[in-house]
Amino acid sequence: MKKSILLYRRLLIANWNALIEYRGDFITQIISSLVFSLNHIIIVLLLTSKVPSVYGWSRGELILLASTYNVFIGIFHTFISRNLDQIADDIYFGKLDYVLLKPIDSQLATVIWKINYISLIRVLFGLTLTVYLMGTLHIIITVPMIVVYFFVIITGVYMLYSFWLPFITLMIFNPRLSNIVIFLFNITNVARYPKEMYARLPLYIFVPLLPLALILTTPTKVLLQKFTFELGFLFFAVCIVLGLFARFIWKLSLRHYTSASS
Amino acid sequence: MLATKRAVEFSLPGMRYFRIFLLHFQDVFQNRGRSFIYFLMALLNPALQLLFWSGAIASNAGIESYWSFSDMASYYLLLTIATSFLVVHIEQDVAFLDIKEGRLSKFLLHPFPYFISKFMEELPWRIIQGLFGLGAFMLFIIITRISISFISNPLQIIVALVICLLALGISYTLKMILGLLALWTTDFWGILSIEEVIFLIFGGFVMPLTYYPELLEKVSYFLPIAYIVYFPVIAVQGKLTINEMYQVVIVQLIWVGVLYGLYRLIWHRGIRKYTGVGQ
Repeated sequence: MKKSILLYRRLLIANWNALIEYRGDFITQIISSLVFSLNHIIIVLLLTSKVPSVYGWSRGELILLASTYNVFIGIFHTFISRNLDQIADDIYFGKLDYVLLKPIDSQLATVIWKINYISLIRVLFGLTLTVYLMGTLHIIITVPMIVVYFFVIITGVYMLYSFWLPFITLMIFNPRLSNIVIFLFNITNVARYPKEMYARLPLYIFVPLLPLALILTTPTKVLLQKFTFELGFLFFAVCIVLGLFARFIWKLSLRHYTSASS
Repeated sequence: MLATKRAVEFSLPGMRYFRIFLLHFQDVFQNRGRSFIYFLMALLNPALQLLFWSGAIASNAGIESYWSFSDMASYYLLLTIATSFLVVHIEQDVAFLDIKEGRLSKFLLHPFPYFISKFMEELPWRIIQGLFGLGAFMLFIIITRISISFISNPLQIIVALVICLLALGISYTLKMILGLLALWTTDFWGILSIEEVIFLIFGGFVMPLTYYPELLEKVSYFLPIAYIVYFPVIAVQGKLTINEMYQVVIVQLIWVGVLYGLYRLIWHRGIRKYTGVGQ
C-alpha cells in the first residue's frame, strides 16, 4: 500500500512538471478549460430563456445541474479520461503490452498514469457556481449534504469510467474505431440533462442511457434535498452492475489482444 | 491505346482532382465504421435538444406559439443532416498531421494546390456522413410518421442547393484557416475548444437563432458560422422567402470571398514559418 502511494505521489509530481513545462500552453489550457466550463451554462441559459421549467426542473435547478456537471466532469477529466484516451492510443498502436507488463492490476493500470490538473479549474468553477446557486435557491448547505454529495459524485465518476471502458475495449477487436473516445466525450453530454427527460424514451434506449442519466441527476438531487431511498438504491445498483460488467468485458477483451494493433 | 486514353483522361482539367477524390473515397468507405461514429456524434446533440423541447412544449402552454413540435423536429433532424454534410473537420488534420507532424512537405511537393488537395480528402467524409444523416432522417419519418414541411417550389430548391454549396465553401475555408493557425501556436487544443463552443452557440446548434435573445441573434447573423448550418436548414424548411434566400446567397458569397482572401494571406505568411520536420 505504502509503495502504491509513493508511486502515485511520483506520478502526481511528474504530471505537474509536464504541465508547467510550456507556459504558453499552460495559459491556453486554462482559457479553454474556462470556456468549456461556461459552455453548458450558456446552453442552459439559452434553452431556458423561453421556458420557465422543463420536466419538473426549474431554470435555477437546471443551472445547478449544469454547475454540478462542471464539478463532476472536472474530476473525471482530471483523473480518468486522459488515461482512457491513452489506452485507446495504446491499443491502436499495439503498445498496450507496456501497460499489461507492469506489476499492478491491468484494469487499475488503465487509469493512473495521467493527471490533467487543468480540469480542476472546472471543479473550482462548478463548486463556486454551485454555492452561489444554493444561496439563490435558499437551500442551506450542511456537512452531511456535502459528504453525501461528494460520495455520490465520486461513485458517479467510477460509473462513468465503467461506462467508457467496454467501449474502449471494442478497439481491441476493431482498432480502426480510434474515434470512439471522441464519441464517448460526446455521449457524456447525455448526463447534462435531467433523468426525467429520458424516461419518455422507449425502454431499449432508456436502459443503456440510464447510467449517464443518473450520474448527475443524483448528486444534484442531493443538493436540492430531493434525494430519495429509491433513487439511491437505483444509483448504487447500476454502479455495481456496470462496474462488474466493465471488469468482465476488460478481462474478456484482453484475451483477444494480440499486441501489434490487434 | 489504353495508356493513351488514360493519359488524355488524366490531363483533362479537373479529372486529376476527381481521381484524388475517388482514391480518398475508397479510403473513407473502408473506414465507414469511423464515419458512422462521427455521424452518431452529429446526431446526438440535436436529438438531446429535440427531447428537451418536446418536454418544454408539453409542459409549457404558449411555447408552441414560437414553433410547433413538428417544426422543431424538422429543424433538429435537418440540423443533423446539415452537420454531417456541411460541417468540415479538416482543421485537426491540417494542424496535427500536416503541420505538427510535418506531412505538409508532401503536399508542398504535389503539383496541386494544398487547398484543393485537402478538399478532395475531406469531401468523401462529408458525403458518407451526410448519407448516414439522410438515412436516419428517413427512418425517423417512417417510424414517427410526423409531417415535416419542406420547400417544394423548383426555384427555391435550386437556391437552397446553392446555399448549401456555399455553406460548404464557408465551412471548409474557415476550418482551413483555423488549421493553419497551428503554424503560429505550440498548443492547438485551446483554439479547438474555443472554436467548438463558438460554433455551438452562434451556429444554431442549440436552438433556432430566432429564439435567441435579440442581441445574441444579431451577433449570430453577423458571423459566418450561422451561414454554415442554420441558414441552409431554415432555407430547406421553407422558413425563408425567395428574396431572403437571395440575400443569404449574397452574404455567403461575401463570406466565401473574405475567408478565401484571408486563407491566402495566412497561407503565404504561415508557410514561411514551416519547417519540414514539423512545427
